[in-house]
Amino acid sequence: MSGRLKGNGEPIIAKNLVRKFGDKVAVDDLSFHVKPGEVYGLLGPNGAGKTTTVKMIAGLLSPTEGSVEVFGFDPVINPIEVKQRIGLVPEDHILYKSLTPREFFDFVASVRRLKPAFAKQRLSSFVDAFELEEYFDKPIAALSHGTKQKVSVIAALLHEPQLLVLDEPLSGLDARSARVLKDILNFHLENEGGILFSSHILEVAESLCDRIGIIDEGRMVAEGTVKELRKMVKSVGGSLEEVFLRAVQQDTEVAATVEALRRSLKETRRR
Amino acid sequence: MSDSVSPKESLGLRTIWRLAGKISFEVQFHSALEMSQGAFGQSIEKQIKKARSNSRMNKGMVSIFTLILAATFGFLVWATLSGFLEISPDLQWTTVALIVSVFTLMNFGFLTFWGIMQCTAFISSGAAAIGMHLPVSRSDASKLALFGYIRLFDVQIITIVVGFPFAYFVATFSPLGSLLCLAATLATVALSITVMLLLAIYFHSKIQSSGGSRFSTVIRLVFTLFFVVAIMGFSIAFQMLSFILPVIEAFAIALSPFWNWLAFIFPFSFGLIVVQATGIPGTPYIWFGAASSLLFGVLAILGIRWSGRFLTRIGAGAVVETGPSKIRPVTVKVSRVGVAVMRKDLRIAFRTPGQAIMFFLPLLMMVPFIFQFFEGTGAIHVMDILILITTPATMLSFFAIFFLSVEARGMAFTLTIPLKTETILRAKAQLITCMAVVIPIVVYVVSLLRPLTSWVSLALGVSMIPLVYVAAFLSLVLFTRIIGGGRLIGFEISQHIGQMLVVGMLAAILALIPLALYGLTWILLIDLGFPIEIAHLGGIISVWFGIFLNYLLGKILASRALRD
Ligand SMILES: Nc1ncnc2c1ncn2[C@@H]1O[C@H](COP(=O)(O)OP(=O)(O)OP(=O)(O)O)[C@@H](O)[C@H]1O
Ligand SMILES: [Mg+2]
Repeated sequence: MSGRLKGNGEPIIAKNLVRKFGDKVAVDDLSFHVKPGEVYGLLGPNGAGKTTTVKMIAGLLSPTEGSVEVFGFDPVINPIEVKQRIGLVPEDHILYKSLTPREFFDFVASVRRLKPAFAKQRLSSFVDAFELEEYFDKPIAALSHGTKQKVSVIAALLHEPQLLVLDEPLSGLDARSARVLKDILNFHLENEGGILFSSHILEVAESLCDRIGIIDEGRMVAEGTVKELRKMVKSVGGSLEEVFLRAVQQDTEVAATVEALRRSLKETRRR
Repeated sequence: MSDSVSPKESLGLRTIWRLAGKISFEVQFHSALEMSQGAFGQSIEKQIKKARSNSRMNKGMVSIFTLILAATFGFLVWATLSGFLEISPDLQWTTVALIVSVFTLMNFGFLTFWGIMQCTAFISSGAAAIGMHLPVSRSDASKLALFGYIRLFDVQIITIVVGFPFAYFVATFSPLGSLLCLAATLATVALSITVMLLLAIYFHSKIQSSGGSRFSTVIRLVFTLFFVVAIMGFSIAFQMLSFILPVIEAFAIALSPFWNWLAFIFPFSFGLIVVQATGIPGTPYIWFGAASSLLFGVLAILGIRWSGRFLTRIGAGAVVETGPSKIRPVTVKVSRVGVAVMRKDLRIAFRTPGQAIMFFLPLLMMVPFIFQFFEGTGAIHVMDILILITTPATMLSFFAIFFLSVEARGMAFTLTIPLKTETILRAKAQLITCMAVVIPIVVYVVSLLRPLTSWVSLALGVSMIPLVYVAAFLSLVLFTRIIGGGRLIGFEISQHIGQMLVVGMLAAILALIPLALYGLTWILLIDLGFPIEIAHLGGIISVWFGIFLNYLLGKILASRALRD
């Protein structure tokens, strides 16, 4: 098998997702969907609930209420089917740190039941593209942040997943590798794949995503294409950043916070 | 650093101790939390509570164990001196010196073993570096790191430090002897912490970094051997408690001419001065015993100071070093799923302190029993073989849980793989089963020493392989159910000793059922007047029936208790 499994239905349909941690409502009645061949950006400030949403989609966390469907499969009921179709790049590097990338990819290719030739070819081209050869036999624990991120990304791409779920994938990548990743994502789309992308780097989302959902405190506050979002705020030609801040009603708030911080620092500064 | 803070004033020891408590809790919490990666949606508050109660449970268990050890120690000293043991008066001093030395060594091994398990968590939490980021003096920072580390097993240290001198005092009523016993215990604690750190650091930098070089293989072996010795001490002490006295006496007699040399060696130097201070009649006056004890005392103080400094440094991230390595072509080795999981676990286990040892446990468990077969003549009875194989078989089911903890934080990755929990647990059980292969081999080797009364002994040995598989799987399923609610979850074994003991015990009992069935069937058939060979055959069939029952139980439990 080549890795890619045929799925039916849309890459992601999330309906009224709610996730609570004790009293804290991390995700609150969130609904959105990702269509085939589409890059959907989940945008929001720290603590908005992006990672929590991603975990529910990947079958790592059960929703308190609501449901998710990944190509028609519910991650709670059919976690295996979902995990087979997803390539997940988690927020923190969750890897076996004492293994080397070589040993790690052996493992990943084996448990995903990839054909040796297929795995070899894909792995070689990724390793080339990300310039990972040098680190291929070093324990993952000893790799730099960005290099770990590359390992994480390759592990997610190796089985040619139909849906890519990336939680802050560009964190720690240098400009070149970020570019490579973007190219890979574009290539992925040509095969009718879907991508869910979480970020708070606005420029990245702006340039990469077809549609963007802005979430704040677990709730969807605005959704649409970049164009639509621009239209939403009257300021014509405003950058997405303004849209973003306006959507979560933080523009004035942020300015005020920054000002207060500046003042307080000034006051406490010693001669 | 700015001039807004003045680091000149040193923190009091009490403040450091209190802050260190926070650091040590942070370590426990960190490992508990990071392992689970929040994947199971428990709220943070709940996890904090759980980390607290786990740590209390661990400390309680270990303290009880230490107190039993101290009581045994006191009893042996008393029994020697009071004549309860019928050791000739001129040998009493050397016997007591030996007992003190052996228990000092056991404390040393025990603490080191315990500490090394905490060490991984301590280093990876980065808690040692906290002091570096605080506006305190360097010496305070290193004290904070050291005490933060020590407080991970403070209760264990306190029970050792208080328990042994106290037991010695009750046994001898010698204030001076007990005082020196206290000094010996304190030095042991300090030395153990130093050695433990040295090993852990060596281990981390060398083994974790150079995957596969010959040098690291040697280090790995040394490291493992160290544990072998430590664990061997316990297993021998506990399994031979019944005939420990003749052993002690034999050793005492053998050693008595050599005290002049032993006086130079830790823990014997301490054994010697304690006995000298107690004033047991016949004790020779070996002056450099005191001198060498003093030397070890100084070493202990230097060691503990170094430890503080070193802990701060490793906290700052000076641990993992890598040597240059050749660039090899990119290839992928695709293997069967079960094999891939096993290979990965094996690799991780051999690079994790405290886990490599598990591979040697079954053999270790049998060593004390094998000794008895050297003595005596005549055929070896089935009953003796049964005793020989029961311990490793039950222990392996018990230690299966260690293999769940192997992945630690990596478990979060395992969760993203499209494999059923059951598949992963079965692969781990298979790995344990590989270790059980040593059991029939040992039985066979024993049969070369002296003949067996029946073929059934060998058949029993072979039966341990499926028995261990089934029991190990059961304990893995039960443990997964208890700590993860039926889903895999990353955890640090040192934080779950309590749950491990409960599940391990249960699994051990389940593993014993087939063996019990053997005995019952055998007795029943003999009672009914069947010939002995038929009784054996019936017994073996019962064993396999028992294994089958456990297998079914495992299947049912897996489908009920595991989610996905
Ligand atoms: N296990 C947990 N227990 C309690 N609260 C949690 C837990 N996991 C997440 N939260 C809370 O849920 C909210 C959403 O967290 P989440 O990690 O999804 O945010 P995020 O959007 O990914 O933020 P960031 O951009 O910083 O990564 C936060 O307020 C967080 O504190
Ligand atoms: Mg996040």
